Amino acid sequence: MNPLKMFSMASTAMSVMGAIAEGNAKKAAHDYNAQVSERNAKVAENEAQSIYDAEQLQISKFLKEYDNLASAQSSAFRYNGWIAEGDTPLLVALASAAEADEEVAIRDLNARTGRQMNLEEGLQQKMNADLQTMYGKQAKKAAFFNAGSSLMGGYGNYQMIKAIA
Amino acid sequence: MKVPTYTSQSALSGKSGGKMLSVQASPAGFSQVASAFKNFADTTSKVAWSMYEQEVKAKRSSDLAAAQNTYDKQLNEYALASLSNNDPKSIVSNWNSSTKSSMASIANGIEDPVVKRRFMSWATDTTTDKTLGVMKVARSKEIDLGKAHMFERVNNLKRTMAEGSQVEKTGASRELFGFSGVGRSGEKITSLGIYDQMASLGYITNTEAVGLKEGAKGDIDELEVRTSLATIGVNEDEQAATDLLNSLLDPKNYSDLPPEVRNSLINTTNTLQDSIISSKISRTRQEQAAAEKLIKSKQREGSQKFWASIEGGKPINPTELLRMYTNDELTEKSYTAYKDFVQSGAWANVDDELLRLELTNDILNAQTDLELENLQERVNSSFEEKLLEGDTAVQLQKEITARLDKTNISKEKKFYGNLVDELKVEVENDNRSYDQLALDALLLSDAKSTYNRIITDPNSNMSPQEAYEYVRDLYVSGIQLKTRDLPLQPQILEFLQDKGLATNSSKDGRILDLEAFTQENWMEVMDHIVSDDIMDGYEKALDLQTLRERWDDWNTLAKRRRTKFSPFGKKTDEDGSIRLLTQEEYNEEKNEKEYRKKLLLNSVQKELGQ
Repeated sequence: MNPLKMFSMASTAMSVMGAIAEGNAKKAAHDYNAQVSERNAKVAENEAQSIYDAEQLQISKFLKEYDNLASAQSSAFRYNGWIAEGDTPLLVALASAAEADEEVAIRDLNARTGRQMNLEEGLQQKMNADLQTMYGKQAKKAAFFNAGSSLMGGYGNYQMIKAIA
Repeated sequence: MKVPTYTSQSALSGKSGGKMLSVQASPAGFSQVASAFKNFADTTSKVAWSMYEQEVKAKRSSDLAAAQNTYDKQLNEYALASLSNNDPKSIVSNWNSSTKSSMASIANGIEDPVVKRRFMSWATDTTTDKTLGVMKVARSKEIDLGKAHMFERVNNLKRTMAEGSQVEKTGASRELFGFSGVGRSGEKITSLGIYDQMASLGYITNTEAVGLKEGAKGDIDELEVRTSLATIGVNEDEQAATDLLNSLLDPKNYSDLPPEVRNSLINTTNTLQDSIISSKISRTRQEQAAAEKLIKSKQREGSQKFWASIEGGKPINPTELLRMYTNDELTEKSYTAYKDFVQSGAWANVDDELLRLELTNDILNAQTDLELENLQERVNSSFEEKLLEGDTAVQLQKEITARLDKTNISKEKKFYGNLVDELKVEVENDNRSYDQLALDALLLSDAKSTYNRIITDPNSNMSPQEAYEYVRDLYVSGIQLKTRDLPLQPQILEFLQDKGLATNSSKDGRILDLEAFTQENWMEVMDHIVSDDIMDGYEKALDLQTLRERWDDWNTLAKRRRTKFSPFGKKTDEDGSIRLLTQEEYNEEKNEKEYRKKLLLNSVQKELGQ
């Protein structure tokens, strides 16, 4: 075979191999990024659970503190000679209890909201990981098409030369 | 009262301890090596394919050029072949088949289909272009062929007018020059002459037709004179030659002859007249010599008869000797000596011994009849002068007679004399020119007389075979001499010289070398004349006529070359038939003769020694 023809075909083959290698490298980069996002998603989920657990503990602590407050209030009424279980002391106790309930409800809402926010962040990271994985796959597919394009280019050149040079 | 209680101091942290990572891999950066490699490969591929394309282009261009050159060369060859093809009908068909075959053959040798396609396209266009030229040649040849046929007819008509009967002449004249008259029922009859027909067909112009008509009248006169010359030459009619010469000298006769042709014919007639006269003188001399020879032969036979009678014991009586003398069978001297010898019964008492030995030796060494005949006369004269005894003279005469019988010289003379007669070859459908016929007759007559003169000349050293070869060569060269100063157009002469068929020397002028011609050469030269662009129809006709005459000469020469003859003598076989000897037989006979001579010489030497 003509040496120049062999060289031309070899260079086309190199081009094909280069396209595939480029695709593989891009896929590896995207896979790496996906792994990082996956890990970040896990971190966000952990963060969400931590926020919720911390708020629940705060609520428990508040209830305990309120219980102490209610006992002290009741004792104080009694000490002052008032009947703690009726009239004004009762109203006061009820008002305090209502306040405490509201506090608990707010803190619970905040815990849930904080958890939800981090879960959302985790979800975003996970989605990003999926996206990177998809990018990697696309890069690989693109590499095949690029390789095909190089191959077709070489074949086309050969046929064009053969036909009309 | 306040009761102390423990209250936790630390605040709860909502953080899990994990941290979001911001590290990101860049696909572009990660793939830059592979990408660079790909770019490098792309560039290399682009350059390599470009180079490959250039190389393919160059190779295809070179292959195509080579194929085109080959085809071009073959096309030129076919075009040249079409020029030398005499058959216009086959020119185009030959051209088509040759070009088609060449095109296919060359295309089959091309591997690259693109080059093959391009070559086929080019070859088709080129062939079409050249085909027009070839068709033009074919058409031109067709016209030339038609013209040539017409001119051939013209020549035949001219010949008929010169040689034919009155009726034939009238018919030929009408065909040649046309006719205009009135028919039986009073209608006007007009017919075109052949020249007018040629003009109407477009073969020649009307001006040429008029010129040719005028020229034809001169040609007919010339042919008529040449016919007379041929007849005079064959009959050796001196008076007719003189009459023709006188007739030519008067311009009123043969009035259409051009002056230069008239002069040439006057010279030819003069030469012919001289030749006839010298031939007649030569023949008279020969007849006289033959008569003298006959008397001498009779006298020799008379002497032989006398010696035979002495040997036989019954000598011829004086009365018979006298009769022989009066009949020229004996010389006066012989008669006197024989008569005295017969009457006295005795002769010289003693031989001249030296003379006897000398004569004996001479007899043994004699090679020819002539030598032996001279010895016979010497013995006779020695006897007459009384230098030899009668018995000795008888013995010597006997030996001479015996040797004379053994020589072949007489046979050879006769054999080669016959060959000289056969030099004239009968040509089938003889249509040679009148010049040629007259010259042939003169040359043959000259050859015969020269041969006879040589073999009867006692001073000639030539054998009959040598004499025959000498006159034969003279005869052949006589034919060739006629080809000098060819009246052909310069370009035709140059063509002949280029072909090596004619020479040009300041001394002899242009000479056609008939020996170098082949049958194909004649056709080639005639074709060349027909297809010449410079000459007009009249010039072409003249050149063709001249060549036609030379062709007749060549044909005669070729047939003469093929005439069989044997320089080795003839032999009569047992059944009486005569055949020519082969060289082997000739050598065998010659060796046998030498052997016999040697034996005889030995025996004589022995005898002399004793």
